[in-house]
Amino acid sequence: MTSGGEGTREGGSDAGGRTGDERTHAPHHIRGDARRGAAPTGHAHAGIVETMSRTTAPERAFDVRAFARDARGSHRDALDLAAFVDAPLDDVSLRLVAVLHHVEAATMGRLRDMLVTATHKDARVTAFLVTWAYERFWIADALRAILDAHDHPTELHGRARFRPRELAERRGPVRRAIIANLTGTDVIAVHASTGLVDEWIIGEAFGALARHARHATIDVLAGIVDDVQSRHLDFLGQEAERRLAESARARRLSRRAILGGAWPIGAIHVPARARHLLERLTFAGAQGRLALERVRDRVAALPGMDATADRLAARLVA
Amino acid sequence: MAFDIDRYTKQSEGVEWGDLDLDVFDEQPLDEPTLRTLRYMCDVEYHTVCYLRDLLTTPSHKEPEVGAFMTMWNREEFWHGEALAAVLAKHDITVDYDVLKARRVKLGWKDRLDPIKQSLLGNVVGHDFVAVHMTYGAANEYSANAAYHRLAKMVTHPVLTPLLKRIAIQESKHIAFYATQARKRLEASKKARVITRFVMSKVWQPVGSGINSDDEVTHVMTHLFRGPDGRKIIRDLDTKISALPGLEGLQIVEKAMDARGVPA
Repeated sequence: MTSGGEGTREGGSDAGGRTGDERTHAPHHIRGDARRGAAPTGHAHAGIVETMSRTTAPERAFDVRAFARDARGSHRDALDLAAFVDAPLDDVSLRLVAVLHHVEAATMGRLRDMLVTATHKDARVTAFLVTWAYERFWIADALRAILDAHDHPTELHGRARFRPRELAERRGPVRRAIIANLTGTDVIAVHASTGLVDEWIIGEAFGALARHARHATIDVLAGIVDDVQSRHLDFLGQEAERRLAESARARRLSRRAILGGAWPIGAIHVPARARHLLERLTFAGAQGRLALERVRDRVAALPGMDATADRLAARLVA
Repeated sequence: MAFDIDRYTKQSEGVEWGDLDLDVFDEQPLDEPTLRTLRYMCDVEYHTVCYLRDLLTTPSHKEPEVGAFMTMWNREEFWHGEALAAVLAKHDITVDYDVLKARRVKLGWKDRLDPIKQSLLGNVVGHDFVAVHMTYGAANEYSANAAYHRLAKMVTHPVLTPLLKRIAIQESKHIAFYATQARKRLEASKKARVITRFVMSKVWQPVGSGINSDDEVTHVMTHLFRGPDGRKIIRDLDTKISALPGLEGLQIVEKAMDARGVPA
């Protein structure tokens, strides 16, 4: 999840701070279920199907305690790593695995960026984050196991992309904490909405990996990720929906963070070539365009994010 | 003491209490001083995520072993809070997310400024500041472990005693990590030893001091560590902490007890 932005408005807002997003928003709740184009295992829904069920938060309030109790640990036993001996992954797949490992393994840094803000005071949110970090650790571990099975390095080398609009992503804990003290509790909405966008993009990237690799072990992993992500999406979706619907300032800050973000979160530190690979495999080509449309539609369905969704989609392939 | 991070992460799990019959508390309820101490412990466990925030202000979490430990440690401490909250709930004491949030909000500006202060100190001191965090963590985990063992022995309750022992077993793994990290970093740098000794002797306070009132801290320390048996535990804690490189001769725990008037 990215940092909370400053309380400034992005361009194009009217006198009331409302943007095109604000003027066209119709509040509703949304859940993105089919996050990837391919359906690698029984965990994923078949085909390129977008299933969106609409409900209200009270009807399906996320049970953080049950989530914590049922957290998914190591996936190594579920992955047939020996299958890579006879059928190793190609270089492009391995490079994408390394990028995904990089962003999943950077979860503690993301946690820090959230905990130095008012987000840390919300005990329900931090209870979720404790388990969320645990589950992401084991996804990263599974990716590392695949890299190790190929003697492929986990480190990425090369210069990261520099874009002025992503400068906020480079803030350290001091600046984040100072800004967050001014932002207050609306920062929780920013963390929820950017976390949601991140999960959508990561889900599509795993789908792209499964499509490209055409390997049973990767299919299994993609199914596991799909399963693990489903509960992250539930919580983040509910939090983002409610908090964005309640606060114009939260919507404004979230728009700014989404458009100023380097996606997926953590990509700001990924070498430019590796980041380009992830973007190309995930969002280029016929399947990629469908993936991009799914991300765009899900973002657009969030309160106050209609126009932001189009701008984000354009940037994901820029 | 070596620490095997792969083994630790594989074995890490939330503390179990589903097999313990909490209804026993209906027949054998805990007394008020014990409940007050348990409430304090529960708050400290839940508050671990806020301690984690301060630890994460240094770059140490980018080291795979440290990041892995923090992930598991944070989750285990959360479950300690959940377990103790379940015991408190049997005595009509509610510790839920709203209560915890209210407690955190009440901490005010000091809490808001803490990560900034920690970050700036980390920037000024440099990488050696990680040694301070690790030593602080070791002292706190030594203390928590001793407190759980002590309370388990004091109450001799068919449910609480085994639960506290289970928690203490997990705390002993945390000790192994922090003490190993602290020793390694203190041995490697004179600057780390000097700064850590200064911070531990001038700043360290019993675990929970930052989030509880002085009255609560004094109650818990007195409840657990009063008398000759308690004082022996306190001196053992000082012996362990002062065995770390650069901390020879420190008696920070005993001084903290004396300052709070805990009778020997």
